[in-house]
Amino acid sequence: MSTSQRQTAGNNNKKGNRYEDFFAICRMIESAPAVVAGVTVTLSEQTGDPVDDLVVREGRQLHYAQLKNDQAITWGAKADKLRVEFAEQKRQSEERSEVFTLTVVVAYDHRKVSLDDNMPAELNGAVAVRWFPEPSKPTELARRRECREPLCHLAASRNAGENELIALVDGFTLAWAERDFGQATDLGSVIAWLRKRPEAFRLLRPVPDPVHPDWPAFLTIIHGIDGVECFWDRGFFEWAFGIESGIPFPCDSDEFRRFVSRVVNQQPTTFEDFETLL
Amino acid sequence: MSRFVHPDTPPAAAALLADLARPPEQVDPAAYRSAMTGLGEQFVETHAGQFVGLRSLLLICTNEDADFLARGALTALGRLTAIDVRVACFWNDRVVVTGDRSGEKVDIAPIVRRYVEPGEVEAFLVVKSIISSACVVRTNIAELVYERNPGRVLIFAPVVLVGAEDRVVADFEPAVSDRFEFFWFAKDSEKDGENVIPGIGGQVYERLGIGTKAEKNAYVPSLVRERRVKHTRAA
Repeated sequence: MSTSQRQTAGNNNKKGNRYEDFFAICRMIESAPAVVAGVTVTLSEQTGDPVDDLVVREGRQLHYAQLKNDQAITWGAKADKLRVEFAEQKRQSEERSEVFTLTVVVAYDHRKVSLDDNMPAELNGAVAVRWFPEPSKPTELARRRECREPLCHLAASRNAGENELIALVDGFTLAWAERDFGQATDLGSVIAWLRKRPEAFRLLRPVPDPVHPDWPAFLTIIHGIDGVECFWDRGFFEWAFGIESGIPFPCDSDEFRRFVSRVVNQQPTTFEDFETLL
Repeated sequence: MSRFVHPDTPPAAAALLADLARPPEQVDPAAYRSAMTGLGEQFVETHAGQFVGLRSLLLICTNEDADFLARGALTALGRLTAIDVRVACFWNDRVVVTGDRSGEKVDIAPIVRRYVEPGEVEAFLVVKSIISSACVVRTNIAELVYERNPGRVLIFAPVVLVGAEDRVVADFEPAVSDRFEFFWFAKDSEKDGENVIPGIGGQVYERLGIGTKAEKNAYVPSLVRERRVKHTRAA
């Protein structure tokens, strides 16, 4: 192989890996609400199965995905490679009585049309083709519908702004870069990793019980301030006053406990007094 | 020290830039605040042509810049134009998370508090005392640009670090970043730790006398206090 051929092959691999990483990050985001609800989810790559670019185990279900970011992929290319891989995965999964899905993930919409239109009869009804255009940067995922809905569900704010969602994508991206290569990635551990860094990644978190020893007194004071609303059900303290709002700290932090104590001690009666205690 | 002063920078603005770069012993917080306010005014006066034809604009700033750089720009806009100016003020933290294994870094500026006046606007005017890593500017533009969809995004900092424009643009798709227009008086190319040299003479919150990095988000700008009366009642 000439140097330029090697470089091209290397670049293609790099491009493929990048695409696979983006898709894995997207799948983590899609599955994270289930993890928050108590489901165990793991992600594995290159497991040795016929379809193994990404294998997501969600409770009892296995989701096998093969990723193709080239413009010319067909079922029949390279001696029927794609068809054979999916047919073999289907056979093996059925043999193991798995609850499973099979997906070809493509970067170009015309490949989805082609693969759907030419679906081999043996795979019909068993294989889905998903169009996942390659993002130019990870943060683009925050604006995609498939990620935006779960991100809004995961965000600590009731109405998360663009940056809170982007930061969560950044967090999942970094967590993915930190994974143990060659081992399954436990999404529960990823969520725990993100929650350890609440100053950066505002992911909803369990509310302490009790929220604070002086909580009833705190709420009485806050409810007495005209126009101020506060929320804590997503594990962060969030306040709003007209066109102003803030989400300064998680409810299980020392800063929050000190803030509650300040409010209880000073008993503000106006927003102007309240904001000096934030 | 390596500084390039933009040819459009008027002598009065150049003098104010020199004030910012002087050490704290020579320029106390009151004088520093005055210089920053003056630079906001100088920007609008120097680039008054940019505002011709605009009917509405959202002035975006951080809480530490609101009473000084942003106030100066607002004052000059009121004096020179009839633009309906709304204000958005953000309180940002700065957090860098580094992966233990990968060594990869996430540099973010979470918004911990916001004051955003409602209404459709034709343009954004983003003012920031200095643009270095561009993280805060990117964050504050991203927070509103998709929601408000302005036709133009004017970005002004008295001083920028070389490459700042590229760093601001980096996180946006061309359909958004094509609307960005950058303005600055001086471009520096040296950095010592977190500080651009000569930059604006150190960390702006300390030089303005509003506290340390940890304390600066307790500062509530007078600009917000004055304007909230009208807008909170309207909301």
